[in-house]
Amino acid sequence: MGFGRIRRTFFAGMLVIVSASLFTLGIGSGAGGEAFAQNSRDIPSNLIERPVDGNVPGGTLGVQSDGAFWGRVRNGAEGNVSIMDKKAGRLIQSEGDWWRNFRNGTVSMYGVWVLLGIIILLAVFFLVRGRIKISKGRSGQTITRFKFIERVGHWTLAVSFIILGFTGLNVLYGKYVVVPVIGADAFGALSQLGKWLHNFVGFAFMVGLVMVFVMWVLHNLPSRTDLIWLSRGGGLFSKNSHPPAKKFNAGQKFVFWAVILCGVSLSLLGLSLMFPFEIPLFAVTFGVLNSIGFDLPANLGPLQEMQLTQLWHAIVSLVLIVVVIAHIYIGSIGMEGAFDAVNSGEVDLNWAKDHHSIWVEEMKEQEAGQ
Amino acid sequence: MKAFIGGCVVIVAVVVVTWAVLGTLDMSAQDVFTSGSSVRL
Repeated sequence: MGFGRIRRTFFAGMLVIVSASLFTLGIGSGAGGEAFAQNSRDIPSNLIERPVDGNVPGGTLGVQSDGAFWGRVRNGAEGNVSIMDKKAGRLIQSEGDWWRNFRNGTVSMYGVWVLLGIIILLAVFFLVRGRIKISKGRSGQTITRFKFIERVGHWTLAVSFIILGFTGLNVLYGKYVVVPVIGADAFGALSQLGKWLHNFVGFAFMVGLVMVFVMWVLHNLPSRTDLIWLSRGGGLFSKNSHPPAKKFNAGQKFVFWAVILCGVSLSLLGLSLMFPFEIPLFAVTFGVLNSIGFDLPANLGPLQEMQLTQLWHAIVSLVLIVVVIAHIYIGSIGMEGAFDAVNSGEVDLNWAKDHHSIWVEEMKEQEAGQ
Repeated sequence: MKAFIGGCVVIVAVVVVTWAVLGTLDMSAQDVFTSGSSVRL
């Protein structure tokens, strides 16, 4: 398989993952799909009452019973209002029932499972495999792995993500976990501070994302050595097995692209949430996906846009938190010598030979050529 | 450790700049951002 083909396959795979992930929201079919497909903004014309020759249909009593009228209102019928905020023409947005159930039920429940799952999985892995040691021990010689600006970019992204992660999890689980401990009043104050932090630190996250992308994207393009690395499980499951790798191995490339793709998605969704109704994303996205064969509801009301944005923000966040927990594990207690790379930037030569042998050779050649 | 502090400095700087920039926008945008609500009449 040629390198160009690998690269094309990689980008095609990325597109499929994003599309498939969107589809997993289930809004194209099933219960959720029905809820969102029932966009009752489209009221049949025979049900719209308009004055005729200056007379209101039915006079002061109207032409419908109260039961029928309120039934329509309950199901999301939309009328007209003279104020600028046209959303006020809809008294009850029924899709909110589905959104609330999905957020408080499915998303919250599976969120707990995946968070606990990755922690348990890593704990078991640590108990079985132990800490991955430097095979020949520390050499005493070091090699520069990351420059200062690269490490600053990493920590800008890392610290901002941890703040965003905790303040975001507080929104989803705080009432179950934090309120019983500190009480409702303190939780209210804490959540207010958390919301402020989440909004503003979100911009720092975007800055970190751009820094990391610009500095590391070329090193994270797929290469042939990734296939070898993957075929040997990255050497994670057998002692003293170290498949060759360049500056970043396939596992690190996976983390990089997960952070970039999820990070961009979260940033756009976050901006849409911070400026409600100003940046609708889903109708456009669904329109594009429908053009390649999906069957998603592209006629979305403003509140439906916000509900989908909120749900997708929560789901992508949980996925990225899981990936980052695994990244933190392998970069700290999981592997001897790994943390030095983002701390001082100088890693032990034997560590570098173990995990990035091709990169070490490249660096030696560069040094010799200077 | 220096890089970690550097990252924190970048975060604080971005927060301050964001706050300052939003403060120069019209009040409706500021209200939307700080309150998280955009019921506009």
